[in-house]
Amino acid sequence: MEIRKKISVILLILGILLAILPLSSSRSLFVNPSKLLSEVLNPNVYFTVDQTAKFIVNEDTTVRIIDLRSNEEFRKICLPGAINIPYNSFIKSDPGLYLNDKSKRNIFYSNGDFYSNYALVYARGLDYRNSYVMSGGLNEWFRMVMESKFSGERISARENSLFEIRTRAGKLFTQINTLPDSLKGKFMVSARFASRKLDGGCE
Amino acid sequence: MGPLSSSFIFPEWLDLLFAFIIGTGFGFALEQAGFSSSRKLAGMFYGYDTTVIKVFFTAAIVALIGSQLLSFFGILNMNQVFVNELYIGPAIIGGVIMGAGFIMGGFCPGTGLCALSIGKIDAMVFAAGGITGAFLFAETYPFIRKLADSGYKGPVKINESIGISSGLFTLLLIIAAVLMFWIAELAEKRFARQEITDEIGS
Amino acid sequence: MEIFKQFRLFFVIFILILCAVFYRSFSNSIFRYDAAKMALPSLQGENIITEEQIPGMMDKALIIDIGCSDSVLVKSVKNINKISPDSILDKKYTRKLLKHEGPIILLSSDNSTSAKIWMLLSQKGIRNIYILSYEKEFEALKYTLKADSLSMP
Repeated sequence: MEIRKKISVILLILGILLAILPLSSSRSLFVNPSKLLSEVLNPNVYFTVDQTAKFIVNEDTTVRIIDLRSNEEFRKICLPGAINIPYNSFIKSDPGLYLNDKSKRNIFYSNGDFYSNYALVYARGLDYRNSYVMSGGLNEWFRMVMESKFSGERISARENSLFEIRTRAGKLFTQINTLPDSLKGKFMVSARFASRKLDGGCE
Repeated sequence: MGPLSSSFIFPEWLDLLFAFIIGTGFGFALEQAGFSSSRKLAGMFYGYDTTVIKVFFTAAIVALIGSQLLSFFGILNMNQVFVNELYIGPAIIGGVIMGAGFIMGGFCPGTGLCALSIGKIDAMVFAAGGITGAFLFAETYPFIRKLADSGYKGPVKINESIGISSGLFTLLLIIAAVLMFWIAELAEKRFARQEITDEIGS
Repeated sequence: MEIFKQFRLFFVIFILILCAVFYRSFSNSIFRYDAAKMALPSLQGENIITEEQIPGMMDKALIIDIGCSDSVLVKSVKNINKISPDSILDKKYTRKLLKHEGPIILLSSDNSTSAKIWMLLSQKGIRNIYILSYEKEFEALKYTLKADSLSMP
């Protein structure tokens, strides 16, 4: 058979196969389900508020704190250095645009535990293994960090260190969140995460 | 290098090396197919040699099928594949200029570079002309900016505009390609120029 | 036979692709559904219910206790399936969940576990799953910050 006819037949068969397949531009999670389950149930996917406070105080650049709440909530109160990716946007757009930097650990938080844990499973399911959660969310932050008080006569070295981190983190938190709106807006613009843009080449 | 770079962190030099290797392969394939000959390329417009349309269309369809299958198997994220933005007016004007340039010069930019690399003088002149054109465009851009930015439609995909699945669109495109191959062969018989095809060694 | 001989290489490759397609389409060891679409109910909290809503769903609901639920309801309802979170994806459980026609309610005292299991099961294609929340405002901030003091509403 002529080579043209052979190639045409091959292409047509593949085309028919593709026409039948449920192709779409959207994706499914592609990590193995059992593996994903054991990964997300492992306590290592969590950072406590104290650990997160330490990252904030030390301005740890290997960590990126991601606030999953809405834009309005983020403008009112947020963790120092946090970047806002509303949960709706996180799910509807491609998380790869935000999470592709494998050198950083992404720590999700919301007010409670729901959105952050949904995002954890979603991100890890798309093989972004650098995804973690601040357990308890902002409510836990307020309870542990902002309400941190020392009582008793003696304090151990460890307790002292913890208390110091919490105090410094609490001060930073108060400073950032009590800025006037005009300054806060400018600060947030400079801290905004620019999602990676697709760039085409020329022929 | 997507899709692998979504799973691994490649250093920049390795990405560039991949690009170099792929580019070398592309140039090799073009030269091997005889696309460094301007008469072979121009033959597509005169009808005596339709190799260009067969090769490029087949390559495009194979790439389309491959990317669709990779996307289905979750290896390639089609959301991260760049889609050219459409500017209707400028695309039509640019297409007319490109088509006229192609038939007059006998090269398109890629094949021009391919012919340049084997020392063809017409390719050198063509490349010089192309660079001059690009320079003139950049220098006159403030004056033609309004035209260049007109008719913006965003990164549209044909199947999404029509409202069909990408798989079905692929099948329709393949059917169109097969028909086009058949018409091309008829054209080759109708507009044959034996003296040219013998010389370029079809 | 003649056609097979001419196209043998293509047939081998085609059969390999076909096997891969069947595996991708029907295998249980991968996720097959559109991730964003299956996560949609979580966007507006449509997957969260409170204890007051449960009596209306009791007829057809499949209630699953995934760990130490403190709910009074748990103690009162008889047909509660207790499944450990690490074995929720076992075939016998996922088959049961897929076959069930009514709502599926997840109970746990730990919201983070419920949220994770919800997302996993949804991505497996199991629909109509709800999380029982003990609070109506499940993602509300319980504190406000004032310049020099902290107050709780």
